Amino acid sequence: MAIRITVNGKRRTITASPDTPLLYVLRDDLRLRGPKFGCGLSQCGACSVLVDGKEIRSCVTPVVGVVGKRVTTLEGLPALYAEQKSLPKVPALHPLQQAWIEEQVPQCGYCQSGMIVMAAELLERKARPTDAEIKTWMDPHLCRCATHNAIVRAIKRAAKVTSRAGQELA
Amino acid sequence: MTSFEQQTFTRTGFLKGGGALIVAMGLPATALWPDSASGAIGAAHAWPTEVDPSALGSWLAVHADNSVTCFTGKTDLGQGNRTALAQIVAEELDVSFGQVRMIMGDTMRSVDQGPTVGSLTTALAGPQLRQAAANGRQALLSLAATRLAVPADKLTVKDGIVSSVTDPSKKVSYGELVSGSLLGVAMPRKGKGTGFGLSLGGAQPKAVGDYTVVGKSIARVDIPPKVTGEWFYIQDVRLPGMLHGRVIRPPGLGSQLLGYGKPSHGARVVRMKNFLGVVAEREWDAIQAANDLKVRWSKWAGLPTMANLHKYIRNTPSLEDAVVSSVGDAHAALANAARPFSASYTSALQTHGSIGPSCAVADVKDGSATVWSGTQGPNVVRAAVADALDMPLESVRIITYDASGCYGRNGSDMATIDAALMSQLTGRPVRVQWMRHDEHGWDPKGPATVHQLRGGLDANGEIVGWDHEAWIPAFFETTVIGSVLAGRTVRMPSLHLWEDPILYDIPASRQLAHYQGDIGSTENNGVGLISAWIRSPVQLQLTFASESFFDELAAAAGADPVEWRLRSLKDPRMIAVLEAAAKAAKWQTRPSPAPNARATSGIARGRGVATSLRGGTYNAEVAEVEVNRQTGKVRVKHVVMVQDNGLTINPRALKLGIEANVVQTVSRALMEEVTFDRSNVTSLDWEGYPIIRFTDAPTVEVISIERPDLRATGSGEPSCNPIAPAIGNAVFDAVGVRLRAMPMNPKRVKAALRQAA
Repeated sequence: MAIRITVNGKRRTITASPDTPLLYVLRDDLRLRGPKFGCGLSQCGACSVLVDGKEIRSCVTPVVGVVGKRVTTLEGLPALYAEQKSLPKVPALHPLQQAWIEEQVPQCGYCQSGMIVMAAELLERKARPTDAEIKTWMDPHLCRCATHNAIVRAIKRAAKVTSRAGQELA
Repeated sequence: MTSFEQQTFTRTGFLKGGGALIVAMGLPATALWPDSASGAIGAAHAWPTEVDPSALGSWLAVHADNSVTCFTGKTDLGQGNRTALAQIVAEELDVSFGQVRMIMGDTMRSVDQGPTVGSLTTALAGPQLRQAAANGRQALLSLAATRLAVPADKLTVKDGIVSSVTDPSKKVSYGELVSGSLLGVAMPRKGKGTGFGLSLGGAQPKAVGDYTVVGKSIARVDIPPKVTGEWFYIQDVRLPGMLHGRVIRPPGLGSQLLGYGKPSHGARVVRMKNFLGVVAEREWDAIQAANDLKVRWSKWAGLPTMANLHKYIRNTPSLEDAVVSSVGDAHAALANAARPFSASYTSALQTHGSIGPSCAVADVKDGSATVWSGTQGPNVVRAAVADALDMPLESVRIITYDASGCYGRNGSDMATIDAALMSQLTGRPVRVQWMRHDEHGWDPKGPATVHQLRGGLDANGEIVGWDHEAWIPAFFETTVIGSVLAGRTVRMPSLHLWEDPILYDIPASRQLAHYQGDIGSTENNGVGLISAWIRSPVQLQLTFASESFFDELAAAAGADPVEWRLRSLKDPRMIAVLEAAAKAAKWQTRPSPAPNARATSGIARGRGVATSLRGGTYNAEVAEVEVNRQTGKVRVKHVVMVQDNGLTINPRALKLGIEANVVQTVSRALMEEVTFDRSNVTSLDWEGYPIIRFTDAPTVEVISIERPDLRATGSGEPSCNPIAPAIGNAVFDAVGVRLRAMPMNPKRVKAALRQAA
């Protein structure tokens, strides 16, 4: 059936059975390469995207469940950030993406889309998280290359930018 | 002109040269770049059996815009080879780093430099590319000398612009030099080596002291697109008319397919003997159909029990026994030792655990096969695909794309064969991605091993004898599961080796290998639980046993573990890394265990040290741990890792790679164990096979000892070898019990504490 969803600010109509997990719609129909298939079991976080600003696992979320909501993938983070911080124009990169480059975080990079998406929600909730808060928040996400320490460094680096760019949120 | 130049720049040489240094006939550089799979699809092809390594054009193309494309048979598994190799090429060609673009692992276009394994890329492929680039620079300089009427030795090159030393207004770019021409340059080969062993001659490469690109922490080229979602992984390859395939594996290793029902969701069943799968137009339909399909398999239960695994390994007749090293008469020395010691060590089966399950896309038609793969070894897989499809090698082309990190032979090669078989069976392009249970269940397993260590001290507490006997996998080859099931068994080359040199000055020693088959292979016609090394091949297990047992002797002698090692080390590079590690860790000299180790409650703290030498790379590590005496949980708090790998190509990428490698190996040392029943693997997801998470990851201090004057040796995986023994030695320091089985999980720690109480 035809399903209308909003992904990265664009309204898209796709034809799929309503129980199709969002991940396959994003990857196969919309050809987005950020979200990845990792486990299909909501265990690893490679498929994470934001739905109305909250991280969800797209591998177990039926596409029909996001109708009327706003889906943001890794690709849509700069635009979401511009909106969140009322920036005059959309930056090329979300500060987290910039920090990921500056800290040279990825090894293979397969999990990093989910990591960045997860961290984006954290920095909206908590302007300057501590190391311990970052680790606890990120704990549900797996990185087999084991770049955990670099990820923590990048989130702290990005937090310096994001916390200055906008008003402190709860 | 030197004889090399005379040989390569004769008119005949121009005409006869097999490869093109230059591709400039209106072809933009981008035409060579594999940014999407779409450009590479074609009808039936016959491809060369081998890309000629002695033709310069097999390695390099210079474009009219003065950019350079380098072709390499190596792939990038996530550690940054693409960047490091481009640095080497840019350095020798005297172009800026940004002018070099890499094409990796395409059997039609890149020379076979051996599979990307064992941290051998910068060590072995680096010199091959360096020589090719040095020859390219020399060839271009010769052209420039003619064009500018300036002798070659009066020319200088910067950013690919050749100019006269005495008159800088006389200049020409590489791109202008080659414009419109096709230049064949043959390079002399040294010896008959191929792959890893390929050795090229020709121009003298640059002196290390002149390096401006190598040795610099250049940002990795793959990282920006990896954080924006633009990077193209093997999982992203899509072909027109493509079907999505999923495999359906048997419940037991030796189960036979008895029958199956009707597929759901409009899917089609593909079957060849015991090879079973489904294909569908849409991915979710294929997944559901694979889940839903009712399949009858025969029962098979030929595996040993988990409890009996190590006894089984030790008691199964070996395929080959070999004395790996022998000094003096170890048997007599141990028999006569005042204080003899003996201990057995074991390690568990582990999974590679790639976050992205293996994936491949195959287009088999008109008697040829184009296969997109995430393999480490495109040429190895090419032969395997040809065998599995019963095609000549020339009819198969493998194009690699980066995959999820593999750390060894994960399921990539296996999924590649699955896709090829499914495409052959359906006549359509097929994309196969394994599901999580396929990857956890069927990736070749990092093998379980058994070790018997014997050592002896004399009356003064000096080591007089050492014996390490190990039951380790033979790995003459790796069987490809899909091909076995399809009745077209393909075996791929693997790594048959022992690597754990005795570092210490011991008067009598022996290392004895019993090379074993895969577990269950004797019970299932030679195909057991298919196994393959996870970093670092064989040494993770051997060094766990040897460096732990060496620590046992130190404790028996009442010696400080660092001093004990320094006393019998002779190699100055090993001494340097160990001293650096002890210094950085603020090592306090005293024997283990710590004075309060035998307290009965609370958190105990300890520190341990271990060293390793692999392929010329020296490592020393100090681990600081906490042991919870109640729960048995070991937490590694901090690791100091020192490495000397000779010349470092990219210091920052090296340190980050080591840091990640350390944390991954801590996970393997403490937590990871594949579970299985009598039929097959039972740890089929991340709950059944947990790995380390953020809150348990230790902090890591990486210290690289720079020796730019020495050849580059393996940089990535050698550092995993001292980790498990350093942790075990730290646990002994903390609580006074010796852990002799990996992983050192809470269950084993508690059992050891109970036994000691």
